[in-house]
This record gives sequence, C-alpha cells and structure tokens, in this order.
Amino acid sequence: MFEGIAPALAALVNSQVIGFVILGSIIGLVAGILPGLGNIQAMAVALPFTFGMDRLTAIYFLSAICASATYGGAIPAILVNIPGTPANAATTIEGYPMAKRGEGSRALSISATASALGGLIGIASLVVSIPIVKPVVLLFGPPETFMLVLLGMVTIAYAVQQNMIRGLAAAGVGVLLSLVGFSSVTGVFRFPLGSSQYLWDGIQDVAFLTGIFGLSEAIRSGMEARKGVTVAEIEHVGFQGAWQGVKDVFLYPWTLVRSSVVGIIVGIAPGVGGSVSNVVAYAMTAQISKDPMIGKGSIEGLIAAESSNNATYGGDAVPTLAFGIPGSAAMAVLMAGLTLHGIPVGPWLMREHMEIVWVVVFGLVAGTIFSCFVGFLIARWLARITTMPMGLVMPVIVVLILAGSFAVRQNYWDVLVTIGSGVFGFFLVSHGYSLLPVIIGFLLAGSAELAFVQALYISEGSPLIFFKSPVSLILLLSSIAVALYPVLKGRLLEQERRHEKAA
Amino acid sequence: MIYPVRFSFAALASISILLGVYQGAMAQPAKTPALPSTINFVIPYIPGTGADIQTRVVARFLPKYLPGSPTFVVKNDAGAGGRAGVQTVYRSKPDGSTIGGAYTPDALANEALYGIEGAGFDFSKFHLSASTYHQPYTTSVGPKVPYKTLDDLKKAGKPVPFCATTGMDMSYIVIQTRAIGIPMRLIPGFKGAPTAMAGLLRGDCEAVSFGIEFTNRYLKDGARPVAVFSSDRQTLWPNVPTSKEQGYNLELEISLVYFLPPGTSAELTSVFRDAQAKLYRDNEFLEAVKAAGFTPTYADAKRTQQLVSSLSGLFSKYASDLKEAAAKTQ
Repeated sequence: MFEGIAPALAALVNSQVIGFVILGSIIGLVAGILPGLGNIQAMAVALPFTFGMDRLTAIYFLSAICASATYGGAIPAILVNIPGTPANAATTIEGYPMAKRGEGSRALSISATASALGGLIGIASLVVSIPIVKPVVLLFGPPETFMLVLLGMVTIAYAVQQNMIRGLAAAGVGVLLSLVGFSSVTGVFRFPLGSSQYLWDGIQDVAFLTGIFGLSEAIRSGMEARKGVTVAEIEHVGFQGAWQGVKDVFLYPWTLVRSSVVGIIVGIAPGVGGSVSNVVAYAMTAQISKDPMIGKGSIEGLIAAESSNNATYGGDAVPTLAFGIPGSAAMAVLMAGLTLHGIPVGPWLMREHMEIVWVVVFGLVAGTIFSCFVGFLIARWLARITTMPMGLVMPVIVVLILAGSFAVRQNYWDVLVTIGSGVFGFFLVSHGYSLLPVIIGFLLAGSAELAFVQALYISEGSPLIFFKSPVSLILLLSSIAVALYPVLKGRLLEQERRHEKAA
Repeated sequence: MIYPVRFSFAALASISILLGVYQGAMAQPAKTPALPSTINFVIPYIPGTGADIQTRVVARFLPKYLPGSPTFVVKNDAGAGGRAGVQTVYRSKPDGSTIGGAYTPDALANEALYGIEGAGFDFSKFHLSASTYHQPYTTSVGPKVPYKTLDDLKKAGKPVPFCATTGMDMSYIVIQTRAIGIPMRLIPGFKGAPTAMAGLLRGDCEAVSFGIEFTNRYLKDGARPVAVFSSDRQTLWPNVPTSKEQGYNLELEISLVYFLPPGTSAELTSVFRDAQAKLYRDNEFLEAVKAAGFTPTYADAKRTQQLVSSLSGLFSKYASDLKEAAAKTQ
C-alpha cells in the first residue's frame, strides 16, 4: 500500500511542482468562481498545456485544479447567491443570508475551513480504502444507489415542514423538471416541448441553478433597489470575521464528520456527485439541527454544505483509481490526463502504479489546502463586494450569469432557460415558496429514477432487490430515521410543554 | 533581312524556353490550400472517454504535418445521444476549420434509428479522411455464470441479461443476439463502459459486449471472454475462439473515423488525408498512442469508406431490431 509514496513525495518538494500546484489551485479557484465554469472545463483546457511537463508534474497540476474549484464555487454562492458550480447549490441557502447581514467574510472563512477539512476527510477515506478498494467499489449497485438518493429525497420532509402544501408543490415541480429529456432506461423522450433535440439531455444543471438562485436574486435586488434599499450592511469584513469563521467550524465537529461521510458515500456511488452530496448533507443537517438560524444564514448548515461537496472528491477517486470507473465528470477528465501521460487508468493502476495513486492523493490534498488558504486570506476583501452599490454590482452579475450559462455548451437556448428559471425563482420566493424542495427534487429525482428502474430491470420487477444487501438496508433505515425525526422531535417537544404546563 | 538559321535557332530556343516554363509549371505541385490558424476537432463524447483521449493525442501531433502548423482545439460536443457533435461537423463551413471524429457504430446507429432527418446528418456526405482503433467486439460473461460459448448463451433457456450503456455496445448486443438467436434482456442505463463492467462483476447481469482492448483490462477481475466477433483469432486473446469458429459468421468491429464537413474541396480533403497518413508513420506519435493504452491502427480513406459502407449495410439490415430495442430501452 505504501509503495510509491516516496517518489510521489519527492516530486512534491520540487520547486517546479510546487509552482504548478499553486498555479493549478489558482486556475481551479478562478474557474469555480466564474458561474458556468468548473474543474471539468478548467482541466480540459489545461490538458494540452501539460504535454510539455513530466508526468508527475502534470498529474499534480491537474489534481490541484480538480480539488480547488468546488471551494471557488462557494465564493459567488455566498456573496451574490450564484452557485459557482452545481455542487454549491445548497451553499447559497445559508451563505448568502450571512453575507447579506454583513458576515460575508465569516461565511467565506467557514466555507474555506469546512471545504479544507471535508476535502481532507474525503482523501483520508480514499487512502484508508486502498487495501479493500475493490469490494468497496462493488458495494454500490443500482439498489444501493437508489437507497442513497432516497436518503436525500426524504429530507424534503424538512424542507416542506413550514408549509406542507407549498413545499410538496415546489418539490413536485423540481421532480418534474428533472424528468425532462430522454430517459436512458425507458427509451422515452419526455416533455420535448416541440424540440427534437435541445431537451434531449434534459434541463442543464448550470443553466437552471444559476437562473433560479442568481438571476432571481438579481431581479429581486433590482426591484428593491428601485425602492431605495441598499446592499448588505457591513459588519465583520475584517480579519477578525475571517478568523471567527475558522473557529466556528470546530464548534460543529459532528456536523463536519457526518456531512463528509455523506460526501464520501455519494462519491463512491456511481452516477451521483458533488451536486447531490451538497444537497443531501445540507438537508440532513437542516432536518436534525437545533439551530434556529437554519435557512436564514446558519453556520452549521453552511459547514454541512461545504464539507460534503469537497469530501465527495475523495469518494469519487476511489472507483476512479481502483477500477477505472470515473466517480464524476471531473474524475473522467483527470483520468484522461493520466492516460494522455501514458498511465492508462483501470483496475491495474493500484497494482502497478501506486506512485501515481499517491501523486493524485497528494495533489488533491495540496490543491484543497492551498485554495482554501488563499480563500481564507482574501475573504475579507472579497466580502466587500456585498457592500458595493447595487447599481454597479448587479449588471456585472447578470452578465456573468448569462455568460456562464452560455459558456457550458455554447447554446443560446441555455441562456433562455436561465432567464426562465430566474423569473420562476423570483416568482417562487416572492410568493413564499422555498427554493430548497425545488432543488432537492431537481437534483435528486433523475438519479433516483435511473437507479430505481435499473434495479427493477436486474430483479425482473421484484422490489425485494432493495432489501437484499446490508448497505441497502442500512441506507433505508437511515432514510426512515431522517424522515421520522422531525415528527418525533415535534411530539417530544409537545410532551415536554404539556409536562411543564402540568407542573 | 531574315537569317533562316538564326531564325530557326531563335525559334527553337523560344520554343524550348516556353516548353521549359510549361513543363516547370506542370512539374510544380498544386498550390496547397491555406488552412485556418485554429482548427476545431469536434467529437461527440465527453472528456476522458477513449475517443476523446485518442483524439487529443492526434490533435497534439497532427499540426506538424499540416501547412502552417495550425492549432487544434478539441471540442467535446456530447449532447443528444452523440448526434450533436456529428451535426456540428455536418453544418460547419467546409473550409478546413473543422474536423470530426466518432466511433463508426455510434454515428451509423443514430442514422439507423432516427433516419437522416432525425439524426440531423447524412453520414455518406462526409469526406472521410482516415480511421483508427480498429478492433473486434467481444462478448464476455461474469465470474459466476456457467456459459463458455455462444451456443451456451443460445441454449441458456432464459433471456440472458446484458449490462449496457446507451452507446454502441447496445447496438452490437442487439445485432449479435438477433443474428445468433441468443435470448436476451437488456439492463440499460449504465453510465459508461467501466460502470457496466462493474455491473457484470457485481452480478447485476450475466454478460457484456465491448471492444477487445477495453474488456482485456478486466480479465484479472473476473470477466470471462466467450467470443471475439472476427474471422481470425486475436493476438491479445489467442485462446478465445472467434464467432466464425463457433459457427457464426458475424464480424463486429469498431473504428474511430475522422471526417470533414460535406462540401470540403478535394484539395483540402487531400491535405488532411496526407497529413494523417504521415502521422500514422510517426514513431513518436505511435508511441504516445500506445502509452495511452490504445493500439494505433490506421486505415486510409478508401479502406475507411469500405468499412463504413459495410457497417452501414449491417445497421440497415438490423434497423428494425435496433428501433424495437431502443423503443423499449435505449
């Protein structure tokens, strides 16, 4: 297991490699900040530039890009309510309210610390799983993946508890939106709306999320600006605010560990990634947290969202390095990078090239630590964006949103989807609907349906397949517990009140 | 006064000069068409796939064989079940600024399933430049199933479950099971060949069908080859009998074909064809392809056209079966 660790570490202390790790982290960070771009695009663009590098330097460079974009995506999510990547969707729910009340620097710092720790826990899981990696990868088939996604879906119970009918309606809309497009398990092109091709791949995550979060907020801010309302009142933008954020994360160790574990499991499961873990971990925390600020700028909620999505990379890397199964699109590009440098990825990688596995591990660690450290250092300056006049900031944000939406596929229809989602999001919020159930439905329902139907194909229609494996059963029991928790908590509180009255 | 001898000499000299100029002009190569400084290399696959990796290696080395050494930008246009990228090339200006690459079965299956109008392109109108990665398809079974031959699968007595992606493996599963008479049911929706292979090893299905090089990576983990769909035994698997040896004369091959937009001039097409012919003799390039885990085969435009025509005939023959399978599960 530890063979190959020495050459990997020896390469990392080389000044040239350190330089490329820093450069890669900055590239990933910037790509994450820009809506529509992420580590996939950044790595794909950077790939040709690695041809002149030796293979270890190139892999360090690409791994650093891979690890740093998700934290980058938290920055616009917190400051301007635009998830920089789909894996930062839930981050907006707690991060943006914090920024609005003048705690942008603290929120950025919480995000940086939670991202770094979550990322390190995820990578530690990769290292620990190396000796048992094959059985771990094969643990997750369609029934287990369905149960995992179900665990996320039941958190809708939390999201709708304030207003059941509105919440379920919003979740239903999210589910319906996720079903648009060609189904690879039923062969049906659903809700094509007259298009023969555009909606084939469904509604694009980036176009939808930047619209429903970012553009809807821009519309709302524009409306309020007309009424003379300014942006955030400035409170803690100094270094103290940032340092407070670091300390905050250590106040919630259980939330950090639990959310990171969710991220790791989601990463190992095929076909689901950071966008799912971010929502699942956040919603689970929201469901069981006692923090009254949940949904209104909660530190605990922000820790859950940001530790889980970064931990997912460790989980993603397990099937990628062990089996050649890319755990996510970003890992697929990293695989391409390895292959182009003469290291074909497959089940033999851990048998024959352990030094490469360690280079990826150290590259992910270095990228995570460096990007989060930079994020921490610049948090107090970045937070000042929220104090700038709305008239200056909003046009830039709207341009970034629309350009980001277009950049992913260079498709003008995606821009229209963003505008439509923005108007839809504005309508929902202004009529008292929460965006969380919409997002849970939209991000999870597609994966749930695929895994559910695949499982039934395997069992020839028998639902017993969902109860056969221990992993599946554990996940099912967890789902039941998470779903029942708010009900039981409510009853317990009611009983306590009665006892108090009686006393 | 005219001096006949001098005139004759002058006349001969003039004719010789004119002839020389003419011959010189004839001997000069035709003017090489200018290429744009940036060329888009469009592939209908996401980054990290086998086709993407091979195309990136080609994009890295091909410029030195093209006039002006243009820069290649690989564009992954993977939408609409692989149709989007091929359509992008189909609609591109035929000025040398765009070249496409796709697995032949993928492109032709889209045409067979949706017709020219539905697919959005007529593959026969592309100008093929070359093809590579020629390899036979194979069928393998999981570690815990008893089947050893195609006949065992045929006599399974129940539909044999095949794990499938939405790509070319599904088309080839349908074709081979229909041609041989293997009862089959598809377990579709696996995202990528490695995920389907993990499904086989986990026991989600009993069989898979992929190219020989890819399948070879998973033999140590338990995948067991049953047949290679070619007429000759393969050096990679010398002990695995071919479909022909097992009594089924069915050849299923994939290749990665490179093509230029319809309307590309013969001169421009020649430039790309010549460059690719030289590329596949470049040892540095061939070593880079091998290092990436692929065998760098090469077929020129004429041979590629034959392969495409032959495969097109196969897909036409089984079009109704493919449509039926796609209507149920793609």
